[in-house]
Amino acid sequence: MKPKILIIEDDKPTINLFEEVFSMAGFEIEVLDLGQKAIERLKEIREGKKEKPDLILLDLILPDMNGISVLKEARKYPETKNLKIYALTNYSSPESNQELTNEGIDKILIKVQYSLNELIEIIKEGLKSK
Amino acid sequence: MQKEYLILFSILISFIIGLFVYLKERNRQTGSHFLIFAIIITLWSISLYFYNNPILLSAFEWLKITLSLTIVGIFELFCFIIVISNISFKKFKIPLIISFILSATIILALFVSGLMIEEKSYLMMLHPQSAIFFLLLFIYGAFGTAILFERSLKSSGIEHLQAMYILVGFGFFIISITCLNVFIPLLTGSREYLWLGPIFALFLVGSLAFAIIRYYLSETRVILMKLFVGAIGTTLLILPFLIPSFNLKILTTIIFLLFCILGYYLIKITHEESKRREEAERLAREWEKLARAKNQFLLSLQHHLRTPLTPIKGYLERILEGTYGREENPVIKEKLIEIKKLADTLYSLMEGLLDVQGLKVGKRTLNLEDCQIGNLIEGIVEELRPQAEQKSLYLKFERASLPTMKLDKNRIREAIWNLVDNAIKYTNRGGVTITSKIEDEKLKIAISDTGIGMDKEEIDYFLQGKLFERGEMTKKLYGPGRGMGLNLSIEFIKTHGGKIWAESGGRGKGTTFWIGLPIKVE
Repeated sequence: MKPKILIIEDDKPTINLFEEVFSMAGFEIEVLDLGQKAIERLKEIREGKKEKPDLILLDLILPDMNGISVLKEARKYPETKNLKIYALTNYSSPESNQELTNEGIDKILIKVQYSLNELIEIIKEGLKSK
Repeated sequence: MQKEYLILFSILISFIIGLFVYLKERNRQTGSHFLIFAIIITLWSISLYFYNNPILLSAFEWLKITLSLTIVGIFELFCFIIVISNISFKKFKIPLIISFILSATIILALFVSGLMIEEKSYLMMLHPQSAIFFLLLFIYGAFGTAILFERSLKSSGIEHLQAMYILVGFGFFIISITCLNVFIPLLTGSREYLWLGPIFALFLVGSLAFAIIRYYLSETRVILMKLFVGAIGTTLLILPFLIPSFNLKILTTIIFLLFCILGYYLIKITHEESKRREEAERLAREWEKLARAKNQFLLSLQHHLRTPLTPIKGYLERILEGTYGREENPVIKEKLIEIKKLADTLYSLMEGLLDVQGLKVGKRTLNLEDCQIGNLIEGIVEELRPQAEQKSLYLKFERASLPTMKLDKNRIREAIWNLVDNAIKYTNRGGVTITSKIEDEKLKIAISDTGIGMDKEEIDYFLQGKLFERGEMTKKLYGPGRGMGLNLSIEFIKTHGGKIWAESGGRGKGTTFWIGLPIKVE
């Protein structure tokens, strides 16, 4: 079965690229472009209405909220606490990195710093170590 | 009799301080709450005075009034603490309403005969139920202290000091009043020191006022100076009329005139100094604001520049990999490779710029590790050799034995790389030689080329850090966009505690760029 990746990202060109690249790499992709949608999805996962993704790629700057709030929401409940979440963002500051680490992020990736092949490798590696 | 004067004096001063602060802070809630509090303290002091020296009403009645004013006063003090701590009243709505009702009930109970206190020929008897009165005072005191304590811990600078002043005044007042009303009567059986209350209250009023008007203290200094000069001036003016001797009259008049001149300058200097101080404080605040704004701007710039570059780089990578089919036209393919290189250049320039700015504002720090700089330079030489060979230039590294140093490898590499790259760019005949030596506990690396060279004026420009200044000179020197790499090198070396300087025999005689780094041998 294809690994499921939930991408929380709002930049349209980036979404198009990721959708294309990750589905070709053999992942099942779903994109949510608002923090609120991500929060709702977490609720549905808690209630058992939706399946857990194998990995969440979380952008930090979303139109309606900070990505860290989504991470906090996930870590708050036992059902979503152990979800594998990578911050995949172009925003980084020592403060935000510290906060992400405190909130239990699994990895922080700066989008622009990796080639697509490198990203796919990192994700495949991450999916192996469940 | 002196006792009475002291009390009247403190009553007057409390009121004046209240009025003074109110006039200064008229537009803010703190000002009006402080005035109300000062008025209550004034009234409380007056009623306490009459309790000790009863007129119009009996001492018993004055005691009831004093106790009522104590409750009103401490309630108002609590409100004042909330206001000055910038807490919304809404947050304390329910406790405030409850305590207001409780206070009003206690005050009413005080006036219902025999409910809380009882008159027994000037010996006032407190009933057990009046413990509620002390409980209420205790709750107000504890809450007020807690709020102030939290604020003093959480805030810094002026706000912290403000909370501390109030806390000290408040604490001192509570301790002294408890001593006067509880411990001293219990220990000595005498209540004769109760009259000291207004004087301790004056201390509280003073410390609160000081906390509020700290901002205006420099102005207060001017007022004090004016008062001082005025008092001495008036004395000197009256003196000639009191002195019988004519010569002394003349002398004191001359002294008075001289003092007028001196006084004028004294006031002027104090005034100017206080203005300067205010201006300096304002600038410091402004600077802090700007630094914060710059920081925010950089973070947002980082995000906005990187976002479109991610798909640009990503799609180019995929096109060149042949994901969308093979590109048959070699010209298109060549141009695409060119675009990919430019996107990478843009990316590294942007990251470099953000990196330098991040280091400057302290948002990024050096990643120090053990580094064999000789190997690092050799790596750079190998990387840039094809570029040099393309222009038929030699590129040499005359390696000496160098210590292992704690350096940020990537940034030092970038710094040296840019200098060598520039040297190759600006040389058309001959080549580039890199040498290194240890001198004065510094590692010195020289990158010498046989290129276009720099004249004295250009070197001065460079040394003064005018790399990015607009003007003919800079254009001539670095051309558009060329200064960027050099600027990165300078900043990276600077954050390592080192510096870059240049030497040249003049136009056409080549240039040597020096890097000096302090050695931190492990």
